[in-house]
Amino acid sequence: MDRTDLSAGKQIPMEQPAGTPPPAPQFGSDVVAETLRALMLPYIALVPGASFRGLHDSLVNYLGNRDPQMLLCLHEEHAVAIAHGYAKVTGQPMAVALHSNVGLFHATMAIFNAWCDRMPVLILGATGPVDAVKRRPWIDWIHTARDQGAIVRPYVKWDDQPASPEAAREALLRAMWHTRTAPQGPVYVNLDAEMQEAPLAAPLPPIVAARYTPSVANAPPAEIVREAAAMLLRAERPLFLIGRVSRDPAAWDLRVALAQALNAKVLTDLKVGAAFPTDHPLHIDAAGILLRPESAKAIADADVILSLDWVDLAGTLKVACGGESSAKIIQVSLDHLLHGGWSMDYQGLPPVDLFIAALPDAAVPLLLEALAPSHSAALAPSHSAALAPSRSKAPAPATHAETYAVRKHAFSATPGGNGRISTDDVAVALRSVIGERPISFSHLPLSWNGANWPFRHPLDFLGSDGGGGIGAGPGIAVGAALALKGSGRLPVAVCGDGDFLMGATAIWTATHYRIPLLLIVANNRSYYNDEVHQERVARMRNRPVENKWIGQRIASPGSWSLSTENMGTNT
Amino acid sequence: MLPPVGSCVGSVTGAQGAQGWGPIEGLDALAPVLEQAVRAVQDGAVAVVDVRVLGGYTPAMTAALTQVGRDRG
Repeated sequence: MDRTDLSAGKQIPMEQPAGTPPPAPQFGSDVVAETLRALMLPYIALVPGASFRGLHDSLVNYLGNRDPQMLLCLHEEHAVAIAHGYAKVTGQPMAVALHSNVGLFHATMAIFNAWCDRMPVLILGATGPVDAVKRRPWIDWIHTARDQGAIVRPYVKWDDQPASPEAAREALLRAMWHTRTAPQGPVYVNLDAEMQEAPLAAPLPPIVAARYTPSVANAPPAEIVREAAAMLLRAERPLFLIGRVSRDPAAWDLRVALAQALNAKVLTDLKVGAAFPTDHPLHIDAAGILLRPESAKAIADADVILSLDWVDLAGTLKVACGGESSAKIIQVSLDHLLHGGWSMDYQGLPPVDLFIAALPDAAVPLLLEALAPSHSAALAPSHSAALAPSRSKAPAPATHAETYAVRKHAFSATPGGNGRISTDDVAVALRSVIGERPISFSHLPLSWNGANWPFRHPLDFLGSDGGGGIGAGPGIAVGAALALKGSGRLPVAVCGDGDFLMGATAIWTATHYRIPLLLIVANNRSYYNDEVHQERVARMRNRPVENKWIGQRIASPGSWSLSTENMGTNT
Repeated sequence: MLPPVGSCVGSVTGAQGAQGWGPIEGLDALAPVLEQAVRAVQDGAVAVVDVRVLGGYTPAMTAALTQVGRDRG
C-alpha cells in the first residue's frame, strides 16, 4: 500500500466508475444526487441497501462517485459516527445514507450522540415503495414503515419524506439549511424507493442552492450586551464556564482576550471540545468530565458567572454550590431552540439573571466591544494587555508549569520490570513521544486526567461522544482523521476497550481510504465505570464490594487483543 | 525486547488492514511502542495500540462519582 504523509493533502483513494455519466438527470434519484452535489457535500458515508439502490446508482453512474464521494462503512452506526467526527473538526455536515428501517435502527445511537453533541449531519434514509402495489413480495414489506422518521424524530432537528423529485430537492435544501444553522444537529430525509427509481417525467427548473440555504446571523440586542458587560465589569470574582464553542482559532483568541480583560477565572469541560488554553494562568483547574473539587470551589466563590453555552449549567451550579448559586449568572446560548419533550439532554433548568440568546462566538466580540470604552480605566494595570493578540501558541505560563509538566519519573521502571500501566502513564508516554508536534484528540476515555495534557488550540481536543453512547469512539476518530487529513495534525483517539470493541469495524473505513490515525486502546478489560457503580451500590446496601467485577470484566478469553494470533495480511 | 509489531490487530481488527501493537503490559515498553506507532501514522498508516491499563479514575473523578449528594435522590 502506498504511504501518505500527514501533510500530503486531503485526497483519499476513490473507487472510479467505468463509463460516461449521462449529461442530465434521468431518474428521481439523479435529482437527489445532483442536489447533494449542489450542496457541496464532500462525502456520503453509507452501508449499501436495496431501499436506496436507485440513489446508489445515481451516486456512482450519474455523479461518477465524486462530490460527494462514497465512504463505505461496515456498520450504520459507524457511518453516522464518522460524519459526527468530521463535523467536530469542520463544523460542516457530511451526508450519510441509511438503508430502510433496519439500517436506521443500527444508526440510532450514533444519531443520538450527534444530537446531544449539537453536530450537523445530513442523513438520507429510504423506504418503500410507499405504493404497496409496487413492492416486491416479502422484503419490501418488512423494510417499509409507515412513519419511518418517527424512529429518530425526537433527536433530529427536522425530518421529511418527500413524494416527488422536486419535493426531494426542496427537502434536501431545507435539511442542509437546518443542520447547518445554529444550534446545529442531525436531520433526516427519507426517500421513497419508487420516487428514486421512477424515470424523471420532465427536467426540473435549475436553482441556486445557496439561495435556499442562507446563513443565519444571531446577534443579541446591544442593550443586553451592554448590561452583561456592566455586570462583568462590576464583578469582583468573575468566572467563565466555557462550553460549546466553535473550532475557530480567532474566536478562541477573543475568548482569551475577554477573560484577560476581566481577569476572569476560566473553567472548561472535557464533554466538549477545547475552548480555552488549559495552561493559561486564568484557567484555574484541569478540565474534567465531572466537576473537580477545585473547580467547584471556584464556582461557589464567584460573584458573576458567564456561561458560554456550558453543557450542564444547572447541575454544575447545584453540585458546586450545594444549592442555588448566589452569583449573578449570565447565560450565552441558543440551545433552548432545540429543546423538546422527548429527550432530557437539555439538562436541569439553571438560574439565569441575564440571558444572551446568541452563539458564544457571536457574543464574545460584542462583549469585548462593550468593555472597550471603559476597561482601560476600570481595570487594573495588569489588564492593560487585555485586547492583545493571541497567546494561544504561547508556552505554558509558569504558574501551571508544574501541573502540565511531562512527568519523566513515570519511566523509572527498568526494562523487563513489573511496572504496570495506568491511563496517566499512557498520557505521559504519548506526550514524551509527541513532543511539540500538533495533534488532535478525537476521543478520550473517562479515566483521562485533563491535567496530563494542556490544550492550546481549538483542534487539540474535539470533545466527547455527546450522548454517552459507547462504541462511538472509533467512528468519531475516523471521521475526525478524515477531516484532519493534510492538516499536519496527528489524529489520536484514546478509547476504552468497551468503546473500541463496539466500534472496532469503523477502522476498516480508515484503512480502506488510507486515512492515517492513531488509536490507543486503554484496555482495562472491564466496563470499569459500572464497576464503580456496583461498588457504590454495594456500599449503600452493605453488600460485598468484592463482587463488583462480576458481569463487568471483559476477560477470559481475551483473544480479541492485539496479539500475534490471527494476524492477517500485511499492509 | 519490544512486543511483536504486527501489520494488523488480532481477531477484531486483523482483517481491517491496520497496523497493531500489543498487548503492552509493561511500562518499559510503552513509549518505544508509541514511538513506532506514531511513526507509522506519519507514514500514512492506521495504527492501533492495545495498552493494558489498570482500572481506575483520577481522584477527582472518583470523588465526583462517589461523594454523598452527587448520586441519585
